[in-house]
Amino acid sequence: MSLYRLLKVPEDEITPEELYLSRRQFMRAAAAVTLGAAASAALGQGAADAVDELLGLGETDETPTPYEAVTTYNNFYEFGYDKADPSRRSGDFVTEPWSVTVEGLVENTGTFALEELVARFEVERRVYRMRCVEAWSMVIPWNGFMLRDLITLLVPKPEARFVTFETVYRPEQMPGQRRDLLPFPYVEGLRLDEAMHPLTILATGIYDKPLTNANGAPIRLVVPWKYGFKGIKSIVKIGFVAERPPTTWNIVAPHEYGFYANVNPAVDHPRWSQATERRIGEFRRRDTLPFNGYGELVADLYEGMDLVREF
Amino acid sequence: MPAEGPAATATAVPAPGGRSAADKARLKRWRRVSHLAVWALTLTPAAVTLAHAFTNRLGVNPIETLTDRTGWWAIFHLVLTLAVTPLRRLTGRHWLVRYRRQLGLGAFVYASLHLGVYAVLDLGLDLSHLGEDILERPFVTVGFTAWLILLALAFVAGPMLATVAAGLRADLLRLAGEEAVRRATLTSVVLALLSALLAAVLSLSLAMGRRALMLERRRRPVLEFLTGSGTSFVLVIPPIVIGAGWFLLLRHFSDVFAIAPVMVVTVNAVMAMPFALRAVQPAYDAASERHERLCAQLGISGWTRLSLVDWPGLRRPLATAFAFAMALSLGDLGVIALFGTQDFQTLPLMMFRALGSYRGNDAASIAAILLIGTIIAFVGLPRLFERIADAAC
Repeated sequence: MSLYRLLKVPEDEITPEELYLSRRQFMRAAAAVTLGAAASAALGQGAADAVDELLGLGETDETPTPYEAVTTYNNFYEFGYDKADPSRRSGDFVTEPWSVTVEGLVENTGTFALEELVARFEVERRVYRMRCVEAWSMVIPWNGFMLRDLITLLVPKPEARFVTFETVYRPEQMPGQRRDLLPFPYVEGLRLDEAMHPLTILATGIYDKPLTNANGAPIRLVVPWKYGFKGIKSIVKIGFVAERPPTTWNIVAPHEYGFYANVNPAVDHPRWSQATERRIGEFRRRDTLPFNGYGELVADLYEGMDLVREF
Repeated sequence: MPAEGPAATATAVPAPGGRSAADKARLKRWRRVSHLAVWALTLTPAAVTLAHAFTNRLGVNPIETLTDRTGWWAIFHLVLTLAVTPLRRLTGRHWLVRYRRQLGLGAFVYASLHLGVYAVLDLGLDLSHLGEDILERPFVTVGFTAWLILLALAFVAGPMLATVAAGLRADLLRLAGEEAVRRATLTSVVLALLSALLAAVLSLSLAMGRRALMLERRRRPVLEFLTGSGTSFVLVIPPIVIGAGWFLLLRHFSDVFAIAPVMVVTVNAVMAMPFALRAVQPAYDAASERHERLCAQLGISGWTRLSLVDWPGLRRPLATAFAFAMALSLGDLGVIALFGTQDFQTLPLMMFRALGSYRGNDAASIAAILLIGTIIAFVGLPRLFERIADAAC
């Protein structure tokens, strides 16, 4: 069996190194100016280092999971519950034109054409680990922009404490929605501070190509320290609310899927252990890391919280 | 299986004056072919999956695919097996029952593959992970229990049920009333109890000795071997050999038949050591680990410590060791075969002699008594212990 052949990333899918590094340096400099200037005035060198570190986060030296695997094996119940369904049965799904409606406790409500929205932001490449709640994982090079940049532009009202997301509802194009596999439309939510974290991105591309229908085209959420189901796909609505919003999997099975859904090897799913995971393409299981290995950067968001109860 | 039609008719309506030899031969050939055909159908999914595995067509997560497929086919066969009887009642096609056992075996084969893929490929034989899954995840618990039941049905239940049925048929009560049988039963139970007690005490002593050696921090490989894995050595020597050794040694010095009970008890206890020690050692180590420091500080040692501090944790494993040794000793035919006499005999020996004198029915009955006794010893004793210990506390 050539499992190992799957592991190899085709040469043409890797960004040339020089181009990549120079863009990173530019990003770092830009961020240091905008974010760092204010912060370092107050905190000195430490804050500047923190910014550096945060921007380094998009990187991991782990081998990305092959494009073939990333785009043909995932959950997207709108197209069916088999993990091959999203790639096999999403052919009829139309993503152009696309618009996103912004509503709720926010200054700039309205409906925006996607391309105009995306044009306002710097789309960058982030290589993140992706840990599914089903105990498998991947390493995926996403292309996207920080959700915080969009939120800053939309100007939430002071009473807004949570951000909500909704997937498109088109049963005629999505066979899974016709079969009512879940209470559609799929909804998700983040605490505002989670949404504002620099690691949280809205992705529009994968492996430097446009998102495939299977992976949530044309725009989806990626929160790398949470289980994959938090990364809602094919977003048509973003809202701002004061109370903790309902989220689909939490509605369906509240004892199995929490609102936070932070990757946590110490809190098992009732039906299986979360202590280890299978990285797609690898034979042996590997240990699951707290917050999917992003603990240093996000753990302080949850200080003082009982992560066993608020799972 | 429409092809079975002619055969079924033949079974249902025998030709006047009985079937001809040629008919019988044809029917027999038919059945053999049809069973082979069912096996071929049963194993087709496995063959297809194997082919997929070799041509790299199991998808991105091959282990998940293997787990899902084997599990699915296990359920498929299980449902088919369970459907045979109702289907037979509904349709009156009694020949269906001939394939029930075969289908059940198919369910067992796929369930075993399923468990194998999960334990070996998925968990990499991480036994602690597997144990945790079996104990804590309801679906895994149910699945594993189902597999155990299938295993029992496939290998153990058949012969066991046959023994009990034969025994019951042979007038168990009459035999149980016989003086010789009653005495042999009593002898068996007393010997088994004594040898179980000896095994429990021995295993606890060995566990304590080994622990003490380890705490001393000076390596003494020979002693450690003797108290640990060395006890398993007896597994490779048949008890009858040990018994024969003693018999040859002792016959010059004393009346071997007078010391027969002692021999039976000790040899049986030693035979049970590998199992008994495996039950007791980890529990003792854990208890010692937990209490060593505190006991040293408080100056609690010896019997006081054993009875007050370590006992609660050791109760259950000791009961297990006891039950194991007792069940083993009850069924042993190794030593008693040499030392037994007409007046001093146990149930297995009695059964052996009954078989030897062509009293097959009596042998079956004694086997049934033995089986029941062993089950009581193995299942009932640990509970009884628990009860007594709880009452005493």
